[in-house]
Amino acid sequence: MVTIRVKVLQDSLVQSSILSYLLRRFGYERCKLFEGDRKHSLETNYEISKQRVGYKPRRDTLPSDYSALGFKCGLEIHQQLMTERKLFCRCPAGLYNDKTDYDAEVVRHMRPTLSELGEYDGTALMEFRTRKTIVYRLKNRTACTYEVDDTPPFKIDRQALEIALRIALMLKTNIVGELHITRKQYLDGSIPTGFQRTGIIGIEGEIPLSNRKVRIIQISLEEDSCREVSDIGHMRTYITDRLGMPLIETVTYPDMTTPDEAAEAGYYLRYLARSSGQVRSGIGAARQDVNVSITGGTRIEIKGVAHIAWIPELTHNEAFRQKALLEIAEQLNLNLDVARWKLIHKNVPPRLLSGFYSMMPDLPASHRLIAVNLPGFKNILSFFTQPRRVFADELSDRLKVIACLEKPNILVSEHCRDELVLSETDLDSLRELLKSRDNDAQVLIWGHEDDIPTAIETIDERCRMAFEGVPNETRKGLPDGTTIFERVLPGADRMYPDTDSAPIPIEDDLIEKLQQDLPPEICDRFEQLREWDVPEDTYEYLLSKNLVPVIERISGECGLTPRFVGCFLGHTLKRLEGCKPWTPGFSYSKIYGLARFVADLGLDNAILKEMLPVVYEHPNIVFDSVLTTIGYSKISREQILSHVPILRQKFNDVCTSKNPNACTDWIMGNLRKMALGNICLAELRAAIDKGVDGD
Amino acid sequence: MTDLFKGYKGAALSSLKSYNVRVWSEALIKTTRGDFNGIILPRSENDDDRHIVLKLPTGYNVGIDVDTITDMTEHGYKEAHYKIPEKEFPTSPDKPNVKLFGTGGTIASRLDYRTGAVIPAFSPGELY
Ligand SMILES: [Zn+2]
Repeated sequence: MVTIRVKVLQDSLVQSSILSYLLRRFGYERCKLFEGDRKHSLETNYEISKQRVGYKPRRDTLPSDYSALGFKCGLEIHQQLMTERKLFCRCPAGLYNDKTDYDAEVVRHMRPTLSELGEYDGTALMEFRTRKTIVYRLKNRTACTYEVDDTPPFKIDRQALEIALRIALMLKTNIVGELHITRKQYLDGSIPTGFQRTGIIGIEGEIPLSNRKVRIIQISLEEDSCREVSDIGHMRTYITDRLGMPLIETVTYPDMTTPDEAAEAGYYLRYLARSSGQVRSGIGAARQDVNVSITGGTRIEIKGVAHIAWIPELTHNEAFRQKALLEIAEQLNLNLDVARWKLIHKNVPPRLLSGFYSMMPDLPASHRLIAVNLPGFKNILSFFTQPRRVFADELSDRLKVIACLEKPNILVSEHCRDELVLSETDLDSLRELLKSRDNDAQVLIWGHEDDIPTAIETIDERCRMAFEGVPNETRKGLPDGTTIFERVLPGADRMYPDTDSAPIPIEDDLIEKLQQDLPPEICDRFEQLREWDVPEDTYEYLLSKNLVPVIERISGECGLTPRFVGCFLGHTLKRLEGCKPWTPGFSYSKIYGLARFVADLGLDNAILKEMLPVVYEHPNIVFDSVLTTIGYSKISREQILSHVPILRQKFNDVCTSKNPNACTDWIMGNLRKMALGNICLAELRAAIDKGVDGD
Repeated sequence: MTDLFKGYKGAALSSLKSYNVRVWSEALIKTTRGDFNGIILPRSENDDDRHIVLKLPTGYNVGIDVDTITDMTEHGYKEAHYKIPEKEFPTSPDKPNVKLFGTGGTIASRLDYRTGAVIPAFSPGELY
């Protein structure tokens, strides 16, 4: 049932230039505000409806506002594990290719199959409707025949299994007696086989937040999916390097009641995984799916949120989008009966639309222009849904994903973002063509004739859903805090036992062994940092990099205070990382070695901050030469202090400043380099202040 | 009788019997590793006799080690059959018959709980 074509690629250059042209031509639409010039009243329907929804920016929204909405949020956190190999084959994990670097391509079409209980899944059917051709790029080094389902799975990677079990224990879940591998259908193409192998490690755990406990539904061990290269028209391209890498998915109950709590839980789970010391970090190594619902709304899944810091804004906007859709439903049901509601669509003769053709003069001959009349939908298309977004965007997003009409793909009869609005003359022609009435709204869509039936179906379907409120779907989060439609929300009907893998028993002995060396809990880590008096601005950095054990080791063995080491890592090292990535060879043990070296020589620890940049840049340098590089020479305390009287004299001769610290500051400035490492700078300052000048 | 305990044998079978819990029942299993709730599924004859298979409410299956079980209670029963929906198969008498040879593949098959493997879908209606 699955078509496969393999060809060795020669014309990748040609392809990528076409791709970049298409991206430029049809990329994300501009996020322009409403500067439209249709001569309506000053207050647009967007503004009026936004007020009706009660939308407020997040900074003005109180926890009580969220509880009035019935805001609920849960998380699904995906975290790659630090293993040598992929989960079910022997390919290396963690090696990435350039997206244009590959040895072969496989082409596939996805078809839905029945679940274990004999049902089809909604998402799968939607994906089938999109009639996509999926292209997989393969590189010999990072993929084998397993990834494309030509070889059955190998034994599960034990390293991955043990890391997952350890984290499951840290989450206090009930560990299963036997791991059963399940095939979870994914027909978006992100997995060439059409399913992901996954299995439950533990269920029913919990994590403590500052205000409440958040319950964990389950933690599973699964395979990562492909990385998307492009998705244009009916062709979606993926690269397979990441495919099959082991990751864990931690799912919480919807226990978070504000956007900030959702982020707090996200950070907690990230710190917890990192504190195992056995997970990957860096771009794409951890990804969040965020579930949001409000009273009367639906559970909406915002997929693949790259940064936890984005969660508050995304969930805030999603809560109000649901509120807006409920308001729309209320308004529609006031005057209309969905059972009798029917949209009218007509082919638009060319030449009828002057405005449209001036915008799109070169519409291909295979394309059709379709005018659609939406009875009773006046003021719905321009109804606020999210900041800078209106209901018309809900249609446009679905047309792109389900009917494969590239954006821009719609023009509407109502005043909203410029690029969505029909010109006055075109609108008059359309209204006449469709015999529209005053309370109707009109949209114009265009695309390849083969895609038009699906497109009309999509508009009809989405408009009917508007009578009900919030449709079940997954959405994609954008950096500006808004979301766009991604897919219909998958149901439970996409599970199928993996008939290629035998169940894997999880013995008590193994659990006991893992239980013996679990890291301290994250809430205790917070407590520890507070006790050490480490500044709070370093916590996120220190915990997400799991540096508490590093602080313990360096401070314990090199005679430094934990507070100093915390700042040294959380400020000095972080600043260096901000300028430039780690030089190969640099490591935390280098930092330990450096601290040890300074301690053994009996140097003052302030010199570490000068030495670190040199070691960061040249990790293999001998520490003695670092001292030379920064211009250190050994000078006694007495010698340094002996310069003070002369400097004080010099300062008094030229100084005009009224600042009482000016003298000490100036002398410190002059002696700093000489003093660094030889004497504690605070001590030196005190000595200058006291007027102890060495003699 | 054995039909109530599809595929189970040895220790797992005695455990189910001693708590009086049937395959396809919704059960709460208390274990030394915590509580598990779900539907008891049949077990493949080829797998060991030390585990009971449970379908969790999330749709995933897990195995429970019988040695860790401290209690088991049935609170519902819901038999499901994996079935490929049969569609009416159009035939026209004026056209010759076609023979199909099944060569395997999960997609053209249905699950057989007894063996834990798949068996081919066989009727024309199932394939259509
Ligand atoms: Zn492989």
